[in-house]
Amino acid sequence: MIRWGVLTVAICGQTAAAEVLLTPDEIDQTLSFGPWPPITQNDPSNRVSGNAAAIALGATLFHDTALSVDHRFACSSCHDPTYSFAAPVRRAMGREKLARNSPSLMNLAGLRWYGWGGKSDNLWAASLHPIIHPVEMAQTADSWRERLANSANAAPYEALFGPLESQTPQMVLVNTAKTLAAYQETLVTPKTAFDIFRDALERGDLKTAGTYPHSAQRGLQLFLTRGNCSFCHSGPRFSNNEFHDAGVAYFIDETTVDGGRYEGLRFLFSSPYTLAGDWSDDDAKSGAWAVRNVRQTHADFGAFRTPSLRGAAHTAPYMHDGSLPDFDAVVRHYNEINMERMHTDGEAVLAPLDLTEAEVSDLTGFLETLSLRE
Amino acid sequence: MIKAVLAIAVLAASSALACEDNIGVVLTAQKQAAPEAVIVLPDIPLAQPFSARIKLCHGGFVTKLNVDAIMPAHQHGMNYVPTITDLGAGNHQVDGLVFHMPGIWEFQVEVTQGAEVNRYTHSVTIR
Ligand code: HEC
Ligand code: HEC
Repeated sequence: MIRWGVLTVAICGQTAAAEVLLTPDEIDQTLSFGPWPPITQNDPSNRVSGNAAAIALGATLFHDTALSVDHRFACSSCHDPTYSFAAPVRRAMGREKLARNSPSLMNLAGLRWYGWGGKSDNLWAASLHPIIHPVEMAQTADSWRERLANSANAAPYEALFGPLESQTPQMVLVNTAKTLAAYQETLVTPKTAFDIFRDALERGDLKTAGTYPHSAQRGLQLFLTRGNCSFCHSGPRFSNNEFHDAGVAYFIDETTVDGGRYEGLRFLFSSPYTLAGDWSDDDAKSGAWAVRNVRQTHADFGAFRTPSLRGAAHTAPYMHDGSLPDFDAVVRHYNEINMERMHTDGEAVLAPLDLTEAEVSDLTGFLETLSLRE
Repeated sequence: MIKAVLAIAVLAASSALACEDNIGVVLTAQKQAAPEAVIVLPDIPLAQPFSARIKLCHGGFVTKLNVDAIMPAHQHGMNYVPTITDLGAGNHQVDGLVFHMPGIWEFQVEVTQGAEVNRYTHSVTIR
């Protein structure tokens, strides 16, 4: 692949030299951000993953305020389809203000961890917790079974899972979450200007690749090189889906801190709803190695899951606490990163970048091309 | 260029590959007298789990084998503890390795044979 890169640049040296600004090595790295969308398998831990009836029921329930004990919220109250299934507020508003920003629910199929602190290792568990969380939908397993049994959704539920009266409340809760997960697995961001560029490079179609704006190309170069961004924002989702301290303050208010991954792991280890547990439908327990073998370290405190950057133009504000209003603020955050906020053993890849104003705008422009603007 | 590549390949065949079946790369031992050990690696994917095979060339009873990996440049290691299965005859299967950032990773292997402990390393570059 590297040799191929040399070749194309050599050819373009004679013809449209200025159009593709990347070096062969940068072209090679760029290819690693695709193809998009990735091929995902049905989730073996969820027996209704990919099932059309479950997806339909999950879609209905997702938008239904019946899921919350007092009909106050639907999932879509905080994960609004208009905002790419996020919410345009800094911290989510439940029964009280939550500690964190509502993340987008796009491109979640097949991840290793869910939530800013990775408190779930599968999508149905991440969909179950808000139903019973006291400051979110505040159901109990009992109150939800009762609610479901007396609703129009009982029939499609029973068609999928059998008679409600023969199921324990906890089983109904898990099955409900599995339909919500089946629905969310279908939420995928479309190809963008970046993908057209990337796919053209892969085909060796420099004419098409050359139509990708030069400023975005320069921004991509910064992303790959001086910015160090691709250390964590890697792969087709622009996320390694692991946990890092990106220098965002983790004080929720003057007296409370957000432990990030540290809290996520504590929750995970006490949860019955992991891939290693009995509620997984996968007899082989194929994804369970992660929860079984994940290592706890002191660097977990204040570390958060690297968010995907696909479709992120629609999901401001940014960071786990929604503290940064737009891409410009994010890029400036990295540019002027406050090393004193980092753990003493923090990520050695983060340091002030010394970007010029033009470079800040190139990098911001590149981030924009990872989303499709109408 | 092609000639250079060939030369490297030949060199690799004579020095880096080892054990009778000629697969794997020789681990760098800390002590000169340490028994030869090799590691067999796949094309390592970034931020995804992969497996490796570690073999003590001349067998011998292995009391304990530990495998870890760090990124020397970033002061951190792996976020997962790999699972090691003794396959007998000095062979060990290592599962659940995850290199979650690109750059240089160093495998650290510790082999205990009775009272003797030998440490080995092997560096790879992940893209
Ligand atoms: C009150 C607002 C609110 C409601 C209601 C809500 N969520 Fe969330 N959701 C959040 C917040 C905030 C997070 C981040 C939580 C964390 O990381 O600790 C989140 C995280 C998630 C995640 C993890 C996403 C990721 O990137 O890993 C999933 C999946 C999810 N919610 C699904 C749902 C579903 C399904 C419902 C309805 C049953 C729901 N949410 C209801 C606010 C809400
Ligand atoms: C050390 C790993 C790491 C590096 C390097 C890194 N990021 Fe991040 N990025 C993260 C993490 C972790 C978060 C979430 C931090 C938080 O919420 O506390 C994040 C958040 C973001 C967000 C906000 C996304 C959202 O939905 O809230 C953007 C945009 C972003 N990074 C862009 C970049 C750019 C551009 C660079 C290079 C200048 C970069 N990142 C470098 C790990 C990293």
